Amino acid sequence: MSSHALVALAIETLGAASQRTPRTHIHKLLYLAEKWGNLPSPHQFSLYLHGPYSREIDAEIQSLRAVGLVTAVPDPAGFGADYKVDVEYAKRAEQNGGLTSQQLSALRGLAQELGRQTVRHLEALTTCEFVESKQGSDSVEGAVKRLKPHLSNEEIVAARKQLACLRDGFESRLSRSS
Amino acid sequence: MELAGRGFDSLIRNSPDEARRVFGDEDGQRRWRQTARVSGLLHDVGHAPFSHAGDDLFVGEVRSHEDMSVRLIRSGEIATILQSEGTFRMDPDEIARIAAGDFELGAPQSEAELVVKELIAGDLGVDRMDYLRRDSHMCGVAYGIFDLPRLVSTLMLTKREDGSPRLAIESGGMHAGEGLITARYFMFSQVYFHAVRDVYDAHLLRFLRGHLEEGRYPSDETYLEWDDIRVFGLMRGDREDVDAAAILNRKHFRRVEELTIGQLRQDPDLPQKLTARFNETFGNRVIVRDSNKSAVSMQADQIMIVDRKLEREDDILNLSGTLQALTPVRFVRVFSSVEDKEGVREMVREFLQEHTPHGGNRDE
Repeated sequence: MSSHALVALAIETLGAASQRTPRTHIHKLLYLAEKWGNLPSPHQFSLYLHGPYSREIDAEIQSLRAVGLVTAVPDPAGFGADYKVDVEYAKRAEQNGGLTSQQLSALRGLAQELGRQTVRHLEALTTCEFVESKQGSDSVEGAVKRLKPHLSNEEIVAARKQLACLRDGFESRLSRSS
Repeated sequence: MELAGRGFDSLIRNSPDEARRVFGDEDGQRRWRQTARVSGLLHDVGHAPFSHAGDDLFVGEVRSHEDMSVRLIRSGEIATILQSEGTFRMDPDEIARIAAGDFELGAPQSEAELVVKELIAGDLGVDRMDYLRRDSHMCGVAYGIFDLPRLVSTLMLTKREDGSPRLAIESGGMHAGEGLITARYFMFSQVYFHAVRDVYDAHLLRFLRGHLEEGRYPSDETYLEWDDIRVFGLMRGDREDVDAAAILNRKHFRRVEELTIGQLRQDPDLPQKLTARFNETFGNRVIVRDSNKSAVSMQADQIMIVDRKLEREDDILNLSGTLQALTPVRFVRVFSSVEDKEGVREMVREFLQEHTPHGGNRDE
């Protein structure tokens, strides 16, 4: 599957699961799905303002926008923009993209969960995953707190718990129909 | 550096109460002004020779010129100067977080740090204000010009919903803000992605990939020994290399074909497919470049416009139809040597016929 197709599929999947498809949600969905789902063409992520972020994903969104396959609709309330993918291209990405039905189902399930989260909660979730994948599960809370002092200890603990549930759900979808 | 100071002064002048809350008393404000100026000075200290052309040559431990900036700011001579010189002593980690946006060092530790970071490198940052006008002047083009004094003098502070501060423009400066973004758009479409400039980047990148150890810049202090002159020296040592010869003799590859929007809509992955196809047949005698950039980042609350008399504020994206209509710039081009031009063009056209049977034109 090409990287463009994967990004388009992430936008489409988020759009189907939630009212809003802002950039942060797209990055976080792909971050977790690529981390857990062994998806083709994974992107490189580094820690940014709201957690793991990929310049490559941004470049792909822009290159799809440049040719009209993705459009950005500014949010009337002033909260950035929502991205919409061309229906035909989304279909092609799904049909010819090379994701297994299990991977697609896992992606949809994750989008369902992440689509309704706030940016702040997504930041907590994905930063916990980022830290854990770098240093293992020891003293994750402390490291996240150092990186994100504005998050409360309760938020970090809750994020870690939810992260474990999300990972279980994702992995069970991956193996369920195999 | 100079613009960072001027921008900072506008924040203090236009939002004195909020500035006092964020930066503290007069001494605090002087300290943060110095921090802003030094961060502006060091923002691009990690750039490789020939600037962004070498960005792809950072691999592994140091993945970008920003990572290199962080490394240089936090160690050696610069760190020592920051800790020992100037009216106020500075923390190299703080300067690295502000100047080079390193979030792995931790999120901004204070509201003041967040604001200064935005002032340096945000969508409205002084980095952009500086490089657009400087590049425009140096290239002798009229693109890249916007009302800099107006824009800088209307910078102010406002508050997010959660009470934290953010940068904004007074309503009178809105069109100067639009001017900055459209200037950036035109600089990318007319200068930075100009076909000839673009192919020289490609020649340089290919040459360095083949000549640097492991095809990348070193991540230790020996990186500092790399400058434009050393790269030219390396090229002169291997004049037979196709890319060194193209640069030294100014015989760059010529543009053979440029893909249309219609073709890319049918298959956005054409550049990768073309590259694979031509690598097989022509090896290093063909270059496929896919360059794209968005002039406006479409992030939440990037640029707020504040009308103080009407007590109203809104995102510039909601107020400006011009910016809403600004799609990213994307150019996909195939270049080849003068000798191969005809053969390559014929092959590209056959390839496109096969992969985009519905054709397509740029305005589709």
